[in-house]
Amino acid sequence: MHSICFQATGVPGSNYIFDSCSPALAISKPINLRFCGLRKEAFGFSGLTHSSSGRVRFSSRGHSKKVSASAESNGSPPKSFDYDLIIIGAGVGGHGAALHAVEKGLKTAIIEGDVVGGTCVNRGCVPSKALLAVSGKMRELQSEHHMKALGLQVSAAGYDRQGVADHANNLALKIRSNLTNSMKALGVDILTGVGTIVGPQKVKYGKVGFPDNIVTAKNIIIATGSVPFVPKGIEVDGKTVITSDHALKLESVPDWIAIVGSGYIGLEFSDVYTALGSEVTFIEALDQLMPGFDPEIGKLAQRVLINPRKIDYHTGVFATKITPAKDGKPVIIELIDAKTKEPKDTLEVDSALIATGRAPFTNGLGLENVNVVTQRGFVPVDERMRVIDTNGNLVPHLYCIGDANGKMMLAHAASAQGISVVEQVTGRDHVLNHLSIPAACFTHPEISMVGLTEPQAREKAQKEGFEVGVAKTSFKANTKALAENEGEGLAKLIYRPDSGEILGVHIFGLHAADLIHEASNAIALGTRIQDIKFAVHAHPTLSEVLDELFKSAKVKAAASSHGPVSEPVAV
Amino acid sequence: MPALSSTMIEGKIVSWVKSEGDVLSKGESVVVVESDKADMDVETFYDGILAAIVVGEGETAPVGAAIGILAETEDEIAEAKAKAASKSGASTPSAPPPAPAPAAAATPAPPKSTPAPAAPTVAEGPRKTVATPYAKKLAKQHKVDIESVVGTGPYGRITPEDIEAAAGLSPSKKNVGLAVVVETKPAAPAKAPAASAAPSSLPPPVPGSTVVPFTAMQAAVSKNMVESLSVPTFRVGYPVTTDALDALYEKVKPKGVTMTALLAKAAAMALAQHPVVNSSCKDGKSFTYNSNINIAVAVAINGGLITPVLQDADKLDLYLLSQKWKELVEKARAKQLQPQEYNSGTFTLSNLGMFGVDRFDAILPPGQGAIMAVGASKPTVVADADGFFSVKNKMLGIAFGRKRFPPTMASFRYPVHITYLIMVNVTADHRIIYGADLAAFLQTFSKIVENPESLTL
Repeated sequence: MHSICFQATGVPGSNYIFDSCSPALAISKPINLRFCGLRKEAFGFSGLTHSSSGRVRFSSRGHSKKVSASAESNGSPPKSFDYDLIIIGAGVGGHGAALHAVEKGLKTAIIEGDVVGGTCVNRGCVPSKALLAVSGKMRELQSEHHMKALGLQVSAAGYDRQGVADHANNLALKIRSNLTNSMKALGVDILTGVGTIVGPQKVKYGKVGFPDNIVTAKNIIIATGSVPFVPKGIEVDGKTVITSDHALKLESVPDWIAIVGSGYIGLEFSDVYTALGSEVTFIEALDQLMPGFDPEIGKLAQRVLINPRKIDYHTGVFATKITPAKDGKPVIIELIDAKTKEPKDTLEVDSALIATGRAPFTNGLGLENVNVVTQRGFVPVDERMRVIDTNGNLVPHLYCIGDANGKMMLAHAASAQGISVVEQVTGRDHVLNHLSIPAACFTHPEISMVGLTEPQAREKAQKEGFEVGVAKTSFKANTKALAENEGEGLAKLIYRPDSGEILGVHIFGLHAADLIHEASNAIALGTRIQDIKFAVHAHPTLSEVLDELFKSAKVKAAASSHGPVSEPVAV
Repeated sequence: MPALSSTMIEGKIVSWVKSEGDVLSKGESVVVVESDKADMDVETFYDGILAAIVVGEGETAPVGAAIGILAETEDEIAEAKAKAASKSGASTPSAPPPAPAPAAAATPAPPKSTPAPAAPTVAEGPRKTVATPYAKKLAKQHKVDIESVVGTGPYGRITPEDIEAAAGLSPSKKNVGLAVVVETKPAAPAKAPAASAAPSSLPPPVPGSTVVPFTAMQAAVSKNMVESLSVPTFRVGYPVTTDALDALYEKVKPKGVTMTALLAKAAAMALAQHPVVNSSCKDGKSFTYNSNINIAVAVAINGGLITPVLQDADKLDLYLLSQKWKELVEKARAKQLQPQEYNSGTFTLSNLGMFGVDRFDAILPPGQGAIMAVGASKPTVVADADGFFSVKNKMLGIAFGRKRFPPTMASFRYPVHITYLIMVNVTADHRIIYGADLAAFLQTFSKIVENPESLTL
C-alpha cells in the first residue's frame, strides 16, 4: 500500500517560494508556521517551466549567493565545516531541501550514488505519468461511445509499444537533467558516490574502487528514499515477474498480468495495462481493493476503474510464491488465505507486477556510527525530522526526510519535510502539518485526497467529542465536466460544523489531482469553510466542483472566522 | 434479486435494513443492494413478515434469485425458514439464475449439474480451468458455463474469444462497442445461428443511413422476438359485443376503474375456467400449468415496449386491480419496474384499439401459452335475435381517454339494428393449446364481457 511518489511533484511550473508567502500566513502561531501550499520542484531551466518562474529563480539565485557569502564571513562555525548542509540522496526530497537551503544562504552539497532524481524522476511518478498520459488518450480514442457523444469519428486506435516506452524514458531523462541543472546552477555541489555517516557531522563518500572522501557539515539530512518491496517467496526476474522499476520501461505488454497490491501503484498500472489491451488480475491481502482510500471513494472508484474493465481480483489472499515463466510454463502464483494461511488458489498468468509497497533504502548509511538503529529499515525521527538514537535521544545535527523515515511516502511530502528541516537549521522552528499534504492517484479519472478519511474523522470526533459533517458534490452537475462528457465523479468534504474546519477532502473525477490543492491549501493555511466559500471561481471550470462543495457544507452560524483551528498534525 | 439497472446481472447485498421476523408493510425499505451502478434501497411490494434471509450481507446473488422470503402470516414462517435453509444449502455458484417468479418466495430451479470433467482433453491429469478476467466476465454476462468451454489460448486457457464462440456470438473486434453485442441464448446454439449469422449476409447499408444501436429494452424485445420463431403458433379470432361492458365501465369509471383492468379481469376469469390457455410449454415435452393467473399487458413506453404484469388478476377485485395497474404504469415510465413485475406474466393482453386498429394478431412472447390482441370496435350492423339490425360503435380505450360516443346511442332501436363489436384475436402455442381450446376460451371470455356483472363481484 505504501507507495512512494506517484504524485504530481514532477509537474513543474508553479514556483512558490516558501519565504515569499510566509509573512501572509501570520494567522497561526509563528512557531507552527504552515506551508502555503506545496512547494513544487523549481526546475529553473526546464523547457517545461514557464518563463516567468525561470526569471524568479534567476533572481533568487543571485540573492542567495550573496547571503551565503556574507554568512561565511560573519565568522560563524562554517569555518570549521566543509558545508553548512550535506544531503545524502538527490531524489525529490533532497532536491527540495537543497534548493531551499541555497535560498536560505547555506553552503550545500548533495551526495548521490546513483542518478540524480531518485525514484520519483527515474522510476516512479515521472515516467509513470508519461505512460498514464498515453493510457488516458488510448482510453478516450477507444471509447467509441464517448467519441460519438462528442460527434467525433475515429478509426481504430493503435499504439507502438516502443514509442510509448521511449516517451516515458525521454521524459525521465529530461526531468533528470532539469533537476541536475537547477542544482548546479544554484551552486549546489553534487558529490558522486555512496554516502556513509562516519561520525557526528561527518560523511564519507566515494565510488566503489576509489578512495573515499570525507566531508564535514554543520547539518546532515538523510534522504535516501526507498526501493520496491518484494515479499518473501517471490522471484523477480525482471521479465515476467517485475516491479514498478521494470514495468515503467514497458518492455512488453502481456496479454494477462497479475498485479500484487491494489494501492496507488497497482491501480495506476492497471489503468495503463488495460488501456494497452492487457487483462489484469489484482491480488490484494486485505479484504477490499484500494484499502487506503475513503471507503465511499474506493467504492465508486471500483465501480468505474475496476468493474467495467477487463479486471478481476482476489482479495484477502497473500501471494506466497511467484515463479517466473520458464520451460514453457506460465508465471505461477500460489495464493493462501490471508487469515487462515491455507492454500487458496493457484493462478497461471503471463506476467506478474509486484506492487506491494516500498521498503526504505537505508543499508550502508553508517547509522551505527551515531548509535542509531533502524526500525523495519526506517530511520526513527521526531516530528521535526530529527533522528532519534537507540537511547531515545536526538542525534544533534542529523535529520532524515522522505521515504527513509516512512512518515508519508510521497515525493512532495519528502520535499516539504526537507524544506521544514532547512527552516529549522536556519533558525526558524517549524513543524510540518502532514494532514495538509495531498495525495493523488493518476488513473482515469483521477483520485485525490487530503486530510482524514470519513472513518478516521469519525473516530477522532468520538474521542474528542465533536460533530462531523459530510458534504458531497457530483461532477454530473459541473458544466465543464459535462462539456468534456466526463460527468462521472464525486467530491466529498469532511468538516466540523461547529467551527467550519476542513478535516478532509476526497475527490474522484476528471483532474481530481489538480483540484485537490484548493482544499490542501485551505487546510495548510487554516482557512475555514465559512471564509473559503466566498472565494470566487471562474465559470465554467472544474474548480466549481469544490466551490459547490464548500457552499453545500452546513457550518453552524455561531462559528467564527477567527480563533485557532486544531493543531497541525506532525505524524 | 431485483434488476436495478439494465446492465445488472448480479447484485450484492450491502445491508439488510430489516431483520428476520420484522413485519413489513408495502413500500418499506427492506434491503440495500449494490448493483453495477449504485447502492439502492429495495422496498417490498407486499405486506408480510420477513421470514428468512436467504442471501446474507456481503453476499452476491444473480438477478432474479430469491434473496429473502416473505411470509404472509406467522404460521408460514417455519415453512419459509425450512425453504430458505434448503435453498442456501443447495445453491451453488454455478447455478443458473432461477426464473423470476411472482413473489420473493420463488422456488429456484434445481441447480444445473455441472458436466463432469469426463472429456479427456488434457492428458496431464486433472487440470483446473484457467480463464482470463474478461473471459470470466463475458461468461457471466452471456450465461456460458465456463467449465464446458475448451480453452484455445496460451497454456490452454479460456480466452474472451472462446466464450464468444461458445455463446454463439460473432467474434467481436477489439474496438466494437459492447452495446452492440446482441445477446443470444447459449443454450440453443442450434437455433441461434440463423439469427446471428444473418447480419453478415445482409447487403451493405444504403449510403447516408445511420445505425442506432438498440437500447437495453429494445435489445430485449429483439431477442424475445427472434426466440418466438421457435414456437409453432396459430391464431383464432372472435367478435365480442361490448354494450354491457361499456355500460359497466361508465358506472365504475368514477371509482378509478380502467378499461385495462376490466379486460384483464375478464381474461383472467376466463383463464380460470380454461387452465390450459394459462399454461406454457417449457421443454417441448410437457405442459406447465401455472398456479397463478398473471396478466401481462403490453405498453408502448419510452421508445420501447414493456409488459407490466397484473399478478393474480383473477383473485384481485376490480378496484385493486385498477389501482395496481396505475402503479405499474407509473413505475414503468420511471423505469422502476422490478423483474417480477414485467416478466412473470402467464398470459398477455395487447390492445391497439385506441389507435383505431380494428384487428391485429400478436406475436406470442416466449414462455407463455397465449396472447390476446384486442382491436377497436366498429359500428357493426348485425342481425338481432328478433330480426332487427343494430350498429355498434364503441371504442375500447385503455387509460388513454379518448372521446367516445355516449353509450345511450345503443338504446336507439332502428329497423336496422346497430351494435358495438370488438375483434379479439388470440395467438397460442399449438404444442399445448389446440383450436378447440382457444375457441372454448374465447366463448367464455365473450360471455363474461357480454354479461360483465360478475367482474365486479
